[in-house]
Amino acid sequence: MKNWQPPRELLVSWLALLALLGLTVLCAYQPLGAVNTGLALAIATGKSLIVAAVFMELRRSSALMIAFAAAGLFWLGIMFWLALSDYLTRTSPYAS
Amino acid sequence: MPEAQPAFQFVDLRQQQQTAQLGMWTFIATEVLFFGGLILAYCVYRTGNPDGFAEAARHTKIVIGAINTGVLLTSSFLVAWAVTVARLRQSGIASVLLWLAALLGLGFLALKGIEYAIEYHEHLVPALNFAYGGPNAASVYLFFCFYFIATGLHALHVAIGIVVLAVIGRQARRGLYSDRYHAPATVAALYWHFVDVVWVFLFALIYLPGRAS
Amino acid sequence: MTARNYLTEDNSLSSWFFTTDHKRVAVLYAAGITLFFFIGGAAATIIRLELATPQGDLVTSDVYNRLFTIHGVVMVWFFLIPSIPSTLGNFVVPLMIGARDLAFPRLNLTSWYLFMLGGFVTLYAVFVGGIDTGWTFYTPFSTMYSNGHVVLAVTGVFIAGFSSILTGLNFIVTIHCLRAPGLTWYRLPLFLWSLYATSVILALATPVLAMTLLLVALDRLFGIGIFDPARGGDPLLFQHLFWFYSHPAVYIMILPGMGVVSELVSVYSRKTVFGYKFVAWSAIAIAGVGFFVWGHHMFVSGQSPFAGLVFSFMSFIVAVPSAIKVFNWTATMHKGFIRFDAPMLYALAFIGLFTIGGLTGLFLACLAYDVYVTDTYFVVAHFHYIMVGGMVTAYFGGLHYWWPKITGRMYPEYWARAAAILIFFGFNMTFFPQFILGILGMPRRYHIYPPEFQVWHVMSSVGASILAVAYLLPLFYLGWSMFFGKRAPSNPWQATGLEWQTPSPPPSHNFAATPVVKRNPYDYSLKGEARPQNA
Repeated sequence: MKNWQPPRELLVSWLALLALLGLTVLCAYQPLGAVNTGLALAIATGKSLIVAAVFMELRRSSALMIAFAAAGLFWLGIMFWLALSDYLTRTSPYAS
Repeated sequence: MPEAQPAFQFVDLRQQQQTAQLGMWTFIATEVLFFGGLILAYCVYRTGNPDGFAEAARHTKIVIGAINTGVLLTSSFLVAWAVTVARLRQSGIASVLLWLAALLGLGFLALKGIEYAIEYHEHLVPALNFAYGGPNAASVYLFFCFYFIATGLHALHVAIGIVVLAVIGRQARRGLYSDRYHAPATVAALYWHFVDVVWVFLFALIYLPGRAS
Repeated sequence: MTARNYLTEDNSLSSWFFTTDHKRVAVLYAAGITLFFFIGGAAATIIRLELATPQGDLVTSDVYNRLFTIHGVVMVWFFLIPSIPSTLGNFVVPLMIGARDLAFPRLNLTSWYLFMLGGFVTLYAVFVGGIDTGWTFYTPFSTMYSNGHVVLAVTGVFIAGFSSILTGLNFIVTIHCLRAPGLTWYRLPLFLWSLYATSVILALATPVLAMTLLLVALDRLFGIGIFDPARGGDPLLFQHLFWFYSHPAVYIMILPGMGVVSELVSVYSRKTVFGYKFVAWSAIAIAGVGFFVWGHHMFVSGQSPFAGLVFSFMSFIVAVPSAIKVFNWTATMHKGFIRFDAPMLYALAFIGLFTIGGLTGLFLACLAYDVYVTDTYFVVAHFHYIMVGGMVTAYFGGLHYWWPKITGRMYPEYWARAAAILIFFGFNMTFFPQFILGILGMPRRYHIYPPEFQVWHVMSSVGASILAVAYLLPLFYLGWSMFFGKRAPSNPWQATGLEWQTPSPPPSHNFAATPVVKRNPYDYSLKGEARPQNA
């Protein structure tokens, strides 16, 4: 019966995630200008890494599995980078 | 409980397990690109209308959104816990945890429904009753288009996930899982965690902008 | 009296429509794509008939718009994309890796049902009036002004997109996880390297199309104006999202063909493929770099010149791995024992026609030149050289090559060679004049043109009628061979792959015993004798 308890890593990760949630909400109300967006995304990334590494067990997975997990993000990056390279270098206004 | 046998195309259970996991990660990659396309569109328009989007974001219900984030994170914790004990053949506990997670998922959807109702009341629903004044009305409108499409699609994924968790919970209850055979539970858990991660990013992009002003 | 095989196993309707045997799913797909090929071809026939005269006398402009749209939509999504992967790939992949089936057989059948459902929804859209947006569904025309059945058509394509994604997923996982003992990555036949690269694109690019089409449908259904400039939307955003998928999509269409050609060139020269690793990795390179070039469809659309520069440069880079393949195939044939069987004729045609198509792609990759020929028949000729001269040719080559394995019958060789030659002749007569038309200034998607262009259009239309006959020939002689063809041995071509080390047609579970791979693929002696991979 003692097998029912959650492993410590899971518990610690869950608490860390909730803490990060509180942090990100708190930070959103601080006037940090352009840093606000970056910070929110950074914290979101941090939460996702915890979920991916611990809950989704990537830290105990093969390199192949990690590569597959990263692949979607890598390709998303290509799409973002090249599309934004158009929008960020336009001289005439768009979408306004 | 008879020993689980691998499907005919597999040599052994281990190969089946690896294959199922790789398959789910591939599927997750496709979903990343699916939501990613929408998020790119959001980012393009936000870069073009930073003030409008910030103003629009202030109209989202951050309390509900934050609670919902906590709800999903907790449900992910329960699912991860459930998979661990399922592998230890604790079928009763595993199924309870999975059903609790599914229940939390339902709670997420209920809160989302309340949120949508409030937004309908405030005339913020494009194509239904959107009415907004001020110079940034067009960007606010665009923002809420994204809001409803993104959270709507996400909610659909949550709904599917709830059904999957319920089914896995039932299979766990019948003692199907062990340390040798747990592919369906692991794979379903991966899907649920992914749905959680999508929400984490949507929360950051939708609820948090513009709060400091 | 033939042994029990996957065809004779059980002949009830339900055993076919509820099959999970990859070989039967492949046959189901073959039936589907053949149907769609002839529907798309019918649209092309009417188009070419109309274009034989400068006036718009056969069809109205509105009908013409619907014709070229449906030709594009059906040919791209319901013929070209599934053709080699879902028919030849589905059949051959498990056999080539020594497996009993794909990783997820039921998902495979689901793919077929989604494909057919998507096809029928799209055909229904045609039936109730069609769409006039072009296969590219550009906004804001498609979302705001078109009076065609846009939502229905994009729904059909959306559904078929899931079919593609699942097939790609299945192949990736199968090739990673189900290889026979001894089958290392560098012992994989090149067809599998190409299909793997194709599958990566299928899995990662198609979801973006799904999202794009969803946005178009929502925009049209609810008038939300995501791509409406008057409401702050950007039509170019649609193009970025659309081409992010649709450019890699053309690599989905060509990579499997390249894989087939690698197989054919080796078998019919009785030689190992020259520079195996280069050919293998060039497939991966094409798939990878192919994701960086989509903006070359948008040079004159209003995207920033800087973006145009980046996309132009990357478009030049992506030509390199394709060229590597062409050089290596040629080197493979050098001093080989060449046999001019029909599959080889198709492979040779592919190499020549793909080279022309690919080189004209470089013309289009030049920013300045593209400004001149964009949206003219030069582009039309370019992509038809690759898609039809390349991909369709490779499909026919592969179909003939693996025909004995799939059906257990030999096709009639002389008819096949005649058809191949007629296709080559008809194809060039149809599409070469279109390069000239493009340079002369003939715009694409127009059916009324200045009289001085007519001579080229007539040449093209005459070529098209020859091509139509040539494409019908295989339907007849292959159909005939299914019932009356000579029974095929396991290895009629004396090839080395694992798929030839099992009877023709194979038994349901492919191999009596799991093969153990001991050799590289394409292991031919200096005298051209084959050493099978598991010998």
